[in-house]
Amino acid sequence: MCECSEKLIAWMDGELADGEAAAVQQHLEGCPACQSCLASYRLASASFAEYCDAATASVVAPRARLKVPRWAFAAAAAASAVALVLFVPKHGTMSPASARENAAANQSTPRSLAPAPASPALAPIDPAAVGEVHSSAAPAAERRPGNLAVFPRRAKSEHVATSGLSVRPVANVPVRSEGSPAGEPAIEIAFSSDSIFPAGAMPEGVSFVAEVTLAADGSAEQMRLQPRLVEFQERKVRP
Amino acid sequence: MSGESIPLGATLPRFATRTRETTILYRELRKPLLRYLVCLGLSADEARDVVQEAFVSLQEHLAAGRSQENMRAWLYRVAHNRARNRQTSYDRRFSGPLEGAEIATMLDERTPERRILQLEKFGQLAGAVRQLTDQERECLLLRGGGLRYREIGEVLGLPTSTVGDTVERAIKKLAEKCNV
Repeated sequence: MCECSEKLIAWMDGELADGEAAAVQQHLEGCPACQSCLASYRLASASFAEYCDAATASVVAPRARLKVPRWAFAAAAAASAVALVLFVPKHGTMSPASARENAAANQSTPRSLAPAPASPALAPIDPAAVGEVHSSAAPAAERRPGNLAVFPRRAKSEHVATSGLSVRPVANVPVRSEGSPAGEPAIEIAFSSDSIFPAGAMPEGVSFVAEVTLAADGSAEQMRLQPRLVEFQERKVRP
Repeated sequence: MSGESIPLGATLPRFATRTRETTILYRELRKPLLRYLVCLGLSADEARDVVQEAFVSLQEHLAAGRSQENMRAWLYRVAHNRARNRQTSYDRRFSGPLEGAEIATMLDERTPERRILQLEKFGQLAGAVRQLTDQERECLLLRGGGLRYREIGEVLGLPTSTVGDTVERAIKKLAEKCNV
């Protein structure tokens, strides 16, 4: 029995240090007995893998079914569209962001969670404002850019290419914040998941809602994420 | 996050990064994890549940800002421990006698000749696999999932040298029993 025979499997698995591996390889080149052992180990290893594959296929394949992973909801949002509904500030110091609309963004932005508001219409965020949401209705001096910064800035060309971001008020979402005028709309921000997640990582029609409580300084005090199956919800309301 | 003021502009990108990491790991490891769990003896539904639980745990792990080193071994360890908790089914596949009908479900049905050869081969392998200890089976399965000896040791709570010895012993047993 060669001394190297005890190291053949570790060598086969690439578990030996460089020096040891080189010594085993050199030995193997001149030792038919070890070559034969190595071949049998490789075959045993491959047979075991084949056996496990067959055992797995016999159990899993016949009963395979489409199942949306639960973790995906927690992970939230590698769907074709991701929607965030941001609620007005708890302390009422920040104006609720209203929206601006852009027809191009409206066409290309994937389905969003809530029904389209009557007005104002959808508006794209210009590249300079990506990462910021502020009211177009309010005078410029009253705007508070950066308070709802949620997205990384992107180059203009990329933004146009993906048209991945739009902002609009959501009229029918209950505002739970304290101290804010009644009826102030929450804000929906929709952006393409392709800008964040690997393509095809999540099934179509998954979005999520983020309920965000904002502090006086505009930072997020609390955030709660809730998954939504957009397609499912839409099917429910359609005849 | 309650009571703590965290800029939203920092929170969501972190969330997106975690989700991206989880998604990549899910796509890479879902099938190997399923294979590992099924071969440990779990049913398909049990294995799917355990895989999902493992990825939920991963998401929580990342959300809590815990270590992100070697998440592959971490996922296998979580899945392994959860499989262990389902002890009733854990040993079913390999420790009990594998019936001919069960082996038959594993066969490729392309040609009768190939089917016969596979039946003989898998019957032989089933006998050899049953001779392995739990630890040897687990080491081989994890090795088959592409884990290094060190990672296998992390999953099973064994020193790396013990893993090496166990893998070697298991492979030699298989080679001997199968006469390959």
